[in-house]
Amino acid sequence: MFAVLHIADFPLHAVLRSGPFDPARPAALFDGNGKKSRVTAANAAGRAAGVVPGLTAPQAVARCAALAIHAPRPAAESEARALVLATALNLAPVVEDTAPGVATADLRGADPARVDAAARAAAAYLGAAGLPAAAGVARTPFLALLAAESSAPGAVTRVDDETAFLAPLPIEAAAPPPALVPVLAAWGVRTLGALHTLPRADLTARLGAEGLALAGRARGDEPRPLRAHPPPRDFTATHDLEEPVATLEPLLFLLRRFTERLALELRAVRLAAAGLTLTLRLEEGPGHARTFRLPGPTADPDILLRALHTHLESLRTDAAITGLRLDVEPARPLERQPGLFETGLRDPHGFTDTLARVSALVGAGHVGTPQPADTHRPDSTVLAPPAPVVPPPEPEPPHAPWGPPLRRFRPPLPARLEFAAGDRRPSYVWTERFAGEVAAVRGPWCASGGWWQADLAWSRTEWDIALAGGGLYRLLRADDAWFIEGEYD
Amino acid sequence: MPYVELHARSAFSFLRGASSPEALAEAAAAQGLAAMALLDRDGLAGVPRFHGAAGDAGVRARVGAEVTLADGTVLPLLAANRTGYRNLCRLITGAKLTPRDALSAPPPPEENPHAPGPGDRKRPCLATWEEVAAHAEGLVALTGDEEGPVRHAWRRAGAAVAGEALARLERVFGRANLYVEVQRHRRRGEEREIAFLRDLAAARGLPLLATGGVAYATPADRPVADVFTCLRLHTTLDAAGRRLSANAQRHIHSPTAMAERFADLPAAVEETTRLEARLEFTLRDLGYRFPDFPTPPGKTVEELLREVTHAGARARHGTVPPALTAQLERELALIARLGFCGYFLIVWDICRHAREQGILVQGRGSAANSAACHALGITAVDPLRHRLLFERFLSEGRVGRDGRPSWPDIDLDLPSGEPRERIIQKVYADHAPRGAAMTANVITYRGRGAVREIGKALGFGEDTLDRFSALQAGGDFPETLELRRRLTLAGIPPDHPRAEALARLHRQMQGLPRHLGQHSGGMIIGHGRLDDIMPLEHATMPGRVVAQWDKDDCEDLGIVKVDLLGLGMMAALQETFRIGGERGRPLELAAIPPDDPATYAAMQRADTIGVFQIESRAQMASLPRLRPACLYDVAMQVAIVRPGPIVGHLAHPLIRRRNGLEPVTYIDPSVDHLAEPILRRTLGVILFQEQMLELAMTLADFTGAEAEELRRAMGFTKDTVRLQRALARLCAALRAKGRNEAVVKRISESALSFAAYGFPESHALSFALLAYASTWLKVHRPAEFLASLLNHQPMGFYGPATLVQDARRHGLRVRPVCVAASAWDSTVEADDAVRLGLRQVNGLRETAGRGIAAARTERPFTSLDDFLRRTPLQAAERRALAAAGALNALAPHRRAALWQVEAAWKDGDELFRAAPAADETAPPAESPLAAMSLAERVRADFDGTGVTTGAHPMALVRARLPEAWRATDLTLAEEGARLTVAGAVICRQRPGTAKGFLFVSLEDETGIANVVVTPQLFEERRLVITQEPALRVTGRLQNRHGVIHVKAEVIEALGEPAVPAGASHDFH
Repeated sequence: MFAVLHIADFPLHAVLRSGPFDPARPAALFDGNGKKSRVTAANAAGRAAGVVPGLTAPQAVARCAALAIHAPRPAAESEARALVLATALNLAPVVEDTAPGVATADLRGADPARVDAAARAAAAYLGAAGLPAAAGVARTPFLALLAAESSAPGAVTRVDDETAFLAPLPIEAAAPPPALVPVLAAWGVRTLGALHTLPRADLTARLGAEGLALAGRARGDEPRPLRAHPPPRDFTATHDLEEPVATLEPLLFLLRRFTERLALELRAVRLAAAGLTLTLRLEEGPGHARTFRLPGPTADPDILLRALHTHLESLRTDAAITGLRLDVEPARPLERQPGLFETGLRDPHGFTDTLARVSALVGAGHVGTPQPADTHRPDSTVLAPPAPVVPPPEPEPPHAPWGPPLRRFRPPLPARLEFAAGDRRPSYVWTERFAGEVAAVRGPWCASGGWWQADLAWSRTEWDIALAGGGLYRLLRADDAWFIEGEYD
Repeated sequence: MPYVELHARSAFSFLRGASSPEALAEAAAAQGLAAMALLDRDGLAGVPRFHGAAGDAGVRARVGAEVTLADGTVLPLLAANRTGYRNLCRLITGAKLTPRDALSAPPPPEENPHAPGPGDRKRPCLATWEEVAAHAEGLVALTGDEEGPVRHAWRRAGAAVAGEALARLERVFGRANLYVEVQRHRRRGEEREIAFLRDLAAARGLPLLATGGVAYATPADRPVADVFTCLRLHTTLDAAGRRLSANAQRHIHSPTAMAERFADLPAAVEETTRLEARLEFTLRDLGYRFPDFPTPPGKTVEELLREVTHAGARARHGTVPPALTAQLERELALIARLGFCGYFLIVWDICRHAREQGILVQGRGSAANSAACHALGITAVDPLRHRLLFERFLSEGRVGRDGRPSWPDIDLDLPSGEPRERIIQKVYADHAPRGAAMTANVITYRGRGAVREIGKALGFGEDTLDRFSALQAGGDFPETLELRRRLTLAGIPPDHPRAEALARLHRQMQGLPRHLGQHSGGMIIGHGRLDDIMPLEHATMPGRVVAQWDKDDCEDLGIVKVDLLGLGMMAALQETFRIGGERGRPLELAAIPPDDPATYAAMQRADTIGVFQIESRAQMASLPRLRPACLYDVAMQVAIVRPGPIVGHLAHPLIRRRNGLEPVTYIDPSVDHLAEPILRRTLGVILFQEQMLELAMTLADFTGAEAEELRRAMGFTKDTVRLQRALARLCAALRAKGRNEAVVKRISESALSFAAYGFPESHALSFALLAYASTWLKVHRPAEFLASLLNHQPMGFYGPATLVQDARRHGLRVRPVCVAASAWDSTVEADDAVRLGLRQVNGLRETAGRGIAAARTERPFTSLDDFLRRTPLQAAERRALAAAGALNALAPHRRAALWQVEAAWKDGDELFRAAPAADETAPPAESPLAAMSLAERVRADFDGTGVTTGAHPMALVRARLPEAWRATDLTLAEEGARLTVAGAVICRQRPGTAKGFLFVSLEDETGIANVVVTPQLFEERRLVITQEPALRVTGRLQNRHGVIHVKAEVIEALGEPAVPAGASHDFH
């Protein structure tokens, strides 16, 4: 006897349970982000609005304007897959990770009277965790899978009369090889029952070994040993957020998912959590990490979540959170003695930690090595991360730098100018520091850029001026105002 | 201080210049420049347009180009005289056409690793110094800007190497033809380089020359230049950094500004006018000559043309009536006087060659006005019979804008595909090696493609741009929403920080050239080498060369062009005649009986699916109203459904006047007596371009040359300024003649509406002839005609499924594909029966299909096993044939065939094929599979062949659509009734003149229902309408003169999987 837990449209539900999405809103999963991507699955609301697999995004939105479009998220699938396996491991010790969203448990030797109830409870648990699962119980793993696939979410189907069960199932249920699909479709063979009626020898002559195997599956297949999934050793959950979050609710939503699954895994191997380490990745700057020592080992997801919640309520990060990770330190229940002087604090070490402190002082955007920016705008720099090694010297340029060095006024000195009648050149300049008659002018030189966005746009015109009383300055006109930008040595 | 600009690039430098040649010329005039030289990168594509625009603006246009050298530097060259120009063309042509060794070329520049390399067909010149030296005569070289050999060397390696680079230029061009170029772009640090150049020039005794290094017309164009830089370097504006321009100074400056800028180097400014005075060459001096036609010894071309013309007339008419002889003599005399004899003989030779090859050919355009062209077999319309005026084709007054006689316009329609290619290859061969070339087709920035490219440069994500493109699905049909609104729909809100820049750039870049393509059929030919006249380069199609000038440029410059156009209908007609001949019912185009009542009756009831030109939705809507009853009516019918006349509100008056609903007037009572002779045949409506020109000549005293310029301006879509100018001249001339404002208004409005879409009368008549012939064939030879149409898909307005359904409604039996009866092509089995060809079976190779027919010719197939054994088919092909029912003659039903073909050997089991059958007489094993249902068969037909010879899919779902009216029943509904129609979408159209209204045609089992969608409803249901293969539409019925439409109020997807997605003809 085998039991299968199965989640239809698993990639879609894996994505949907990874965020607080409204289950009543139509949603569909596409096979990518590209322009050719097509619907692979839709939730019940989406299907009700006419969204079916194979539609392109414009076609799908044409049928359902409110459709939420999702792309596959491998991380969310991994998390959901781990939850399914953990649930199955609580059903039986030998469990197979058959496919994404499909776990098979070997129940041979179990009490047949209790199998159905246990499978139903497992399906219900998964349903509550956001994965609408169905269960199937049958003689072979394949048959159990078919039974699960034909069940509604939360239900259990037990196959006793195999022939009657198999006959109406669509041919796709037997997973025909892709090359045979058009052949069978052209033959009009749409159900396992129809395939069953074809003479086996003729079928083999036409479809070869693959056809023979297909016919076997159409009869329910044979029992086989499961590829046992090893019990979990590391108890870790991670998640990269699609959009950075700055509020508590989305984090708690995810942490609830984490603790549910981790607690289930701990229970499957008869362990409990002795400590938790929560790591938050932030949009800017180093992440936040915190280790909690629990008062006593526990596998209760609510207790685990509460510990995290208490900490997060008082936490203020410098930037939005882009990802999180939860590590559980496993322990045998009540077998570990807590250290007398252990604290929850970690001691930061090394360069990274020092940098983090500096960053905390001056702001995350103000740490790094200044380098000239790739722009025509003078005096523009960007901060680059400190290089791990000293860069090699650049080759000598063919022409050495020219002209005297400029000593910049920071900020530039506002200036007032006087122009001689009929001349566009300045004749006198005043600033708060100096003033004088302009003896000579060279220029102008113009530069501008960033025109494609109002807040990036800049434009400047500069002249070099020599004052009659001595002194060589750079005169700047920018934003309709005059400045002395610096003095030449 | 006088100054002229001698170094400017236009957008024809492709991503290195940001303004059109016209904008440059206009800005040059505005800045007071007396002359300007256009030096585009590696080409002269912009030169003709610059020449024309500069002439209009009063600026002397000088010619040159920047030539990319093999070492990656760029050398600006100016043509001093015709020799220099010829050398420049040959240098560019030679460098572009000569294969370059990829290994010896320099690596792509660091800033642009994606630059086309020597191995690319469409690469820069990469000319060697030897090639430059060989073509130096008559050229003046400038040392160039920062990409020039001297400054490039100075920047990279210092003064000594720059000096060597200058010395090399001196050796190649000599001191007299070399100028050290200095540019000031107001960039800090440039003085150091200028000082070096000044000293270097002084040391070598070379003149300094100030230039602007112009890359755009005005400072406002700088953003476009920056975007082009990003597109060239495959980067974004944010990431491009210092690779963008530092400021907006590379625009055209006035002489005063340049004098001020080079106040320290006045000689460099003065030198510009001295150099310009040396540049004698302008495009007026092209030296183009039409090729000679080889004549027999002792005979001139004039004598030969006379001989073949009269011989042709005798062949066409038997006894040549005196009137025709007189007309021919008159025409021949004029042709000889204008020196066009050789041209007529060459076109005659092409037509003769085509006929010898069995290729149908027909001239279109104003050539149909010529009795000589008719006698020479170039055109099919008899001008005397239709009272066409020869002067509309050729007159002594017809001169181009430069005063040259304008070449007559002869376009030849040929069957599309391989036959046309054979004729093109003949022209190439006759004028080899470089005497013939295809004209270029300038592809411009427009529509969603432009948004995509600008969006990329602005850093918008692919997903956003994809969304924008998806929302515009169906092509760049005229939009009712302005760009900003469409961007909002695509997820770019109006307050997006870059939405403004995107919209502005989109506006600025509209119409700028993007790249040079190849014109579909325009060929130019010249005496000797065409690369003396213009640069040639590789076309994308291997083995072809293409000129850098497009057809308008060639026509403007008096270069003769022959359009060899491919028409699918010509191919279909040719095949219809061939099939008729094989069936003992020979026919040819000229022998189709004229004035056949049944043919006109079919036209009058819009029974025209599949025929030429008058089959579109709009044509079919107006046919019952115009009710054509003679060939001239058909010509009018062809001409009225054009954007031009509709804009001018002229189509409807014609129909109303024909139906007696509106009095016939001639523009205005004050000019009745003058306009009536011109407009009598079109009941006072200005319908044809010729009428427009005749009115201009009669009412405004336009000369032949002025009328010719008006004609060119109306046909010149790129340059609205030119049209406006021509219109202004027309209005002024009308007023000068004392015409009242009503006349001025009517005439100028008509001229405006004709622009780009004006239909010459003779052209309309040529098309009318094809429309008449194809309708006649549809009426009298329906089987042959249908078979031919099916064999030349895709063509026309409707797909094979619609053609077949239409034929069935006309009582034609269309028999399914069958290996025991079908050839590769569709064939005629009886006067009322067509057998679909094996070509209809998707996935069947032509060699395999022809192999089946050949094997059957050997001996008929005795069984399916016999068929499988004797035909070299792949497994997928066997399945396709069986599923489409093509094996039904050899098996009880399709599924039985499918069952049996799977039992045959697999691909690669060739040994089995050779083995004799175990028992030829043994009946095949009975199939355990059930036969397909009707719905399954229809589905399999559409999947496998795209057509069904059985019931229309809508018939299968009809029972589920009790509320939907059948298309034929709509005639019974009352005007204004609210009803529902449903069907497969076979056409979506949104004509530019329909003010945003969309027309959708829905096909059901009885015919076609036409639906009109308001712009507002279209925007609301855009995706449903454009994406769904079948629709259900509820709305009000409109019945105007028997033309029935449903004005949509509710549009939904039909959602019936049984109705397959057919090929809809969208937005054309």
